[in-house]
Amino acid sequence: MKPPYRFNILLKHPPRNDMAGDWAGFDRGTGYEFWGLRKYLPGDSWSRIDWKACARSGELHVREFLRDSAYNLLLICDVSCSMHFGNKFAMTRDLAVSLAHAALRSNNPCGLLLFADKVLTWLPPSAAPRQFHRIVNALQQAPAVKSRQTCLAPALDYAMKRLSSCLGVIISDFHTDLGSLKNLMDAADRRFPAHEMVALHVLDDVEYQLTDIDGGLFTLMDVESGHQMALDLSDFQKFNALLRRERERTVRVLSGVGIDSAVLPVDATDIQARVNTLFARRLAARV
Amino acid sequence: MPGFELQFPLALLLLLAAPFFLVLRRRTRRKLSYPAIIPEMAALRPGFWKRHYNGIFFTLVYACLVLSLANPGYSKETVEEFIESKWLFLALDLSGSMKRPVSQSSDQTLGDLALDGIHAFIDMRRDDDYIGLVAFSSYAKLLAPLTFDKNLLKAKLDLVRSKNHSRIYRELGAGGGTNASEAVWLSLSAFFSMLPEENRLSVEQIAGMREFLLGEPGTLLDIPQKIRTAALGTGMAVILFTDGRIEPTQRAHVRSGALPNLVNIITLMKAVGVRFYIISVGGEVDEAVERAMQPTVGEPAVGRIFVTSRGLDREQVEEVYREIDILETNRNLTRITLQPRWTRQVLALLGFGLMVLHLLLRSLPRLRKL
Repeated sequence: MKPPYRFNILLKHPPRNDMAGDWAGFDRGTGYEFWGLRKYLPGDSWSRIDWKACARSGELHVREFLRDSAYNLLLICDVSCSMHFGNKFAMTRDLAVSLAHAALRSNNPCGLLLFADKVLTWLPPSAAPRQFHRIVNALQQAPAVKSRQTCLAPALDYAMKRLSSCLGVIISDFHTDLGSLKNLMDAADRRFPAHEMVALHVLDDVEYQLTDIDGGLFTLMDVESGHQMALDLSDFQKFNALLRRERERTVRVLSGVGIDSAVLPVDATDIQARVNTLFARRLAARV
Repeated sequence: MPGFELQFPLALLLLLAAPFFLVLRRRTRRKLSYPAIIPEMAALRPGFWKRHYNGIFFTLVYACLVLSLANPGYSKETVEEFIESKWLFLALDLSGSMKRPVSQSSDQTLGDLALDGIHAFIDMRRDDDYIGLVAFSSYAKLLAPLTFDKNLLKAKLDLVRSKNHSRIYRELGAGGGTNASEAVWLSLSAFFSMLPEENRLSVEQIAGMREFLLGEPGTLLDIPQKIRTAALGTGMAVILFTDGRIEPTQRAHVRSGALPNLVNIITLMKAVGVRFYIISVGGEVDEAVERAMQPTVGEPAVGRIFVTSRGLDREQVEEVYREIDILETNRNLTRITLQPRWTRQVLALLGFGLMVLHLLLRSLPRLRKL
C-alpha cells in the first residue's frame, strides 16, 4: 500500500537524558548500545566476535547491538463505531499508514495500538522491514467493534506501561471522556516527558460544520450509544457554532494535558500540510 | 347532549390501538446517524409543539376517523307551535228525498238548504283546514278531494245545486237510495290516501281493509300496522248530512256486490280516532248505529248525532254546523321533533382537514421533519 501522505515527523522534546540508550530502538541491528551475545553463525562479521566470551566459553560468540533510533512512534488509533461514520476510518488508515511509513523510512520503530472501549490490537514498536505490512494488515483487519463507548485513557495507560518512551500519535474523533486523561498525563514529567502525545482529530464534515441545509427538524441517532435526540436546525449556524465550541473545548482539554492537536476534516485537501505544520509548530514552541 | 348515541360503539375499541401506532411511528421514524451526540446539543432541541405536532395531528386524525366509524349521533329537538289543521270530509245526501222543497212557498229544496249550511261551514273554517266533499245517493261520488281551496269547494258545491241541473246532480238524484256507509268509507279512503308516504296505504291495502267492513257488526277488524302507527285521526272528522235512514245495512234497494257495514265503519273510526258527525233530518237513525256512536267506558266519543226535524230551515242547518265548528275547533299544538343527526360526515371531513393541515405544516421549512 502506497502511503498517500508524506509526513515529516519531528520530536518536540529531546531524549530524556544524555545517556546512551535514549536513542536506542527495540530491535537488534547496527548501533552502539549492546544488546547481547549469541553464538557465531557463518556469515557474521569477525569484527563482532567477542573474544573475551570466546575465551571463557571456548566457543565463538558475536556481540549484538540495538538499532539506533530517534523515536519510537506509536500509532494509537480509535476504531470505535463513531470512527466508522462516513470516511473517517479510511482517513485514519491513510494517516496511520503514512505516519508508519515516515517513521520506518527513517529507521525509527513504529507500533500500533487499536482501541475502542479497551485495547483491541497491540503491535509493539519495531523497525523491522515487515512492520509496515503488519501495520497495514492490522488496520485493514481492524475488528468490528460493538462497544457503546470510547475510552482513551485505558489505551494510553496500556501503552505507557509497555513503552518507556514513545511518540504517540492519537488518531481519533475524541468523542470520549477526556477528564481521566488529566491524572494519567500529570504523572509524567511535563518538561521532559517520556511519552510525547499528539492528537489528530479526524472529523467528518457533519461533525465539523453543516452546510447546504435548508433547516428543519432532525432526529439524530448516536451511532455509538444509540442515543437519539431531536434537533431544530432551522438556524443551523447555531449548530455549527456549537460544534466549533465543542471542538475548541476538546482541543483545550487535550492541550491542558500536554497533547497538541490538529483538526483534520475528512474532506480537507491540505491534510499533509496540517500534520506537518503541527509537528513543526511543536518544535518551534519548544524554544 | 340530548339523545346522544353511537351507531357502531365497538369501533371505539380501535382507539385502544392508538398508543401502539404512536409507538410504532416513533420506532420507525427516520433517524439520521451521527457520530456523537453531545449533551450541549440539548440546547437545540425543538419546543414542545415542534417536537410533538406530528403525534398530536396523528392522534387527532386517528380519533376523528375512529369516531366517524363509530358515528356518534344526537337528536336535535325542534319545537314548533302551530294551529291544528283539521281534515274534514263533508258527505252530502243527494238522494231523491233531498229534492223535496223546504216549504210549500219556497222553491228551495232540502238539498239546497244543506248546501247553504255547508257553504257557511266552509266559510267558518280556517284557511289551512283541509276540506273534502262527497255526495252520495245510491252510490258515493268524490266531489272534491281534501283541499284548502275554498273557492274550489264552493264551485263544486254549486255543481250539485238543484237549479244548476248538472250532470252529477242528475246522476246522483237518479239513484234515489241513501248509501251513507259507502260515502263515509269513501271519505276514510281519502284520508288514508292523504297520509305521509311511509303510512300511506296502497289501493290494494285499502280494498283489503274494505273486505273486513263487509261483515256483520262486531267482526274483528284488521287495521294495517301503517295506519296504527300513523297517529291517524288527530283533527280528522267526517260530517254526514242525510235525511234518509241511517242503518248498518242497505235495505232500500238492491245492488250488486256487498256494502260496508256502517257500524263496522264507526268501529274503525273509533279505532283510528276519526270523528264522525251525523246530521240526520227526520231522525231515522238505526239503534245499532246509535249504540256504535255511544262512547264506551274510558274512551272518548267517536262523534255526535244531530237530529233535526223535517221542517228544517237555513238557520237550523247553520246552527248545527256552527256547533260542529265549535266541536272541531282548531287547537294550538306544540310539535316536538327529535331529529337524529349523525356526525360521520362532519368527523370524516374534520379528519381529512386535519390531515391536509398536517401536510401543509410539514411542508413549512421551520416545521419540516427530515
